[in-house]
Amino acid sequence: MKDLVSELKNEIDHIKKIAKEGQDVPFEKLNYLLLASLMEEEENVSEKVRPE
Amino acid sequence: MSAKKLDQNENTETPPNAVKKTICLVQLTRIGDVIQVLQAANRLKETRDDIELAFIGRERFSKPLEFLLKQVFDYIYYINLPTILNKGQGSLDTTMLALNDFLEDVNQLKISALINYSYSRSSGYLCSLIHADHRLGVHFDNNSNLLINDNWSQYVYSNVLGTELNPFSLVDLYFKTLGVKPYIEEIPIVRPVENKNIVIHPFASSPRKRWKENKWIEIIYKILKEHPDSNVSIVGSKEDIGPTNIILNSAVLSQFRNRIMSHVGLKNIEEVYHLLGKSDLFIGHDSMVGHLASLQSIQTLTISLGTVRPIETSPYLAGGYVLSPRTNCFPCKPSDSCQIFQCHLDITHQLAFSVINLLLNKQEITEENIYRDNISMHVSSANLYRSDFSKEGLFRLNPIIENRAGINEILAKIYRVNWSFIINDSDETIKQPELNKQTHAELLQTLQGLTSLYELAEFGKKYSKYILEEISSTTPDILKIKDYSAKIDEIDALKDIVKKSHPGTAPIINYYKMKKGNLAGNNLVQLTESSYLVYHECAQCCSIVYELIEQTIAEYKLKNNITLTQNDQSL
Repeated sequence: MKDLVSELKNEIDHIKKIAKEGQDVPFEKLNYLLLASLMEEEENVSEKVRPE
Repeated sequence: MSAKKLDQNENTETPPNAVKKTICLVQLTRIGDVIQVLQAANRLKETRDDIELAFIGRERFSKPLEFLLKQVFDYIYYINLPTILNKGQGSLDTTMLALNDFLEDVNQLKISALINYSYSRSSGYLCSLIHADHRLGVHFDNNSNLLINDNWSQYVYSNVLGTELNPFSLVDLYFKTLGVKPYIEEIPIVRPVENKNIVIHPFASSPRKRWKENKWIEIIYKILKEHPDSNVSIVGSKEDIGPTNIILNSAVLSQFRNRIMSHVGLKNIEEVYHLLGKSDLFIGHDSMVGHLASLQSIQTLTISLGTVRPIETSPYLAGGYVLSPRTNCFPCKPSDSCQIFQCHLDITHQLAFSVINLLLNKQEITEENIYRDNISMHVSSANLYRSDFSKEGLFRLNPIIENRAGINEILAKIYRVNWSFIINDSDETIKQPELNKQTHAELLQTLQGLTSLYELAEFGKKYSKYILEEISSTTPDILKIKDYSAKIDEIDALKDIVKKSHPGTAPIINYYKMKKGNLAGNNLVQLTESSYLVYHECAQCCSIVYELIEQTIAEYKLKNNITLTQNDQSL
């Protein structure tokens, strides 16, 4: 699990770097963002439509 | 994580050769939200026989509702992070394969419209990765930029999330996003209280949304003492067992112990739903049990506290009652810190019981009866509403005790007329809000804010037009275009200042900021044209709200014999 989290973090950092450079983030990279956001929200799913 | 094709919804009215279009609704938040989406989907299914419906939700919040979901949805998909992680066995590559399996499963469907009803990042990414002809609600482009293209989702994102002035039930907003005909005839309405089987859910998803146990002990004691033929069922989850024991073990209730049944931690949601079906009155805080009660059409009394916005989430049916505090900070935001929970004190158990007592005695709940049964101090700290539907089919909460509205409630009413007209092109007639000296003064302030905003929108139009003229000239000057764009940025920054000084303008500013962030067009000309139209609509919106406020003020002055002042200048 620890490996997965650090590997995922590396991927997200890479995506952020691409976005920061103004390049298009490859579409398949969205999967990593989906996984990261699911993991981030898992313990605290927001109520209603409030921002998370 | 699975999809089911259900056969009970086969519709014989559609010609055999016609291909049904599939609409997929996504709701990754909690059980109550899933029920509200279900209510909208149910209406869609009732009114359209040429579509199939799919649903995607988090397994832990949606699976318990499968018995209801499968009555409405043809396909149901559950996403469950623990399952994905288990399959991944700690490796990122394998985990991604498991996630892709889920996406591939969903992508087997040919989805015509994908509607994201949850405003979380995960649902936004999910909706970007699912193939669909059209997307409504939040999704992301390839560069991870947030996109919201449809008007009602833009409204939800900018107003439900961003202001205190949303005047619509979430179910109605879901209807509007789907383009579903509202309930005009055959509106959902509570059935009368016949017996005295009462279901109480004294819990909520956060401590600030629920009373402490002592108030519930008082309520239950009074019900059982004053109504010897009544009995009380308490429902809740396993996490609520501790507080339930405090209630059950209280000395005051010991004499009535045989008339209190606790189902807390014992009954699942389906069983609670059936229990509600056999009951006559539901009392509780704003939570998913209230939504279940509305599906069973039983009489409800909802005690709204903390972060709850009653108009958005009260049980969606006519004839229910809602108590909310008149505390200045109500409703608060989840991020606000609070130690004293003043709003909990502002709704007294005596006031709540008087409403329950009238319901159980089959007496009408009127202002007169409420004052008769309470000391005025208890009545003056709370609002009591009865729900119904406007003739346009929109859910509303009508105050039983008049002349209580604060500035937010008054502005919300005015915005309700405005948004229905601006976004839906429909007129909704509302009763003119009653003002007092303070709300009158606050509305005059808002008028000033609207005047400033109108002027800024007109400047926005002017500079958008200058850009278009410069582009269409024979030798466009890039420096001039940059200069005009800088002016437009300045205008947008000034709008934020207006919002801070005049919070009543926030709904308009937020909405048009959202629209401006999602301009239609692929080149500078198209984008500038869209920008011009957004400013134009913003100015128009200011005029409408200004006029509605003016009418409200005029009526107040007429009633109170106040002469016109210089502040009342129209745009």
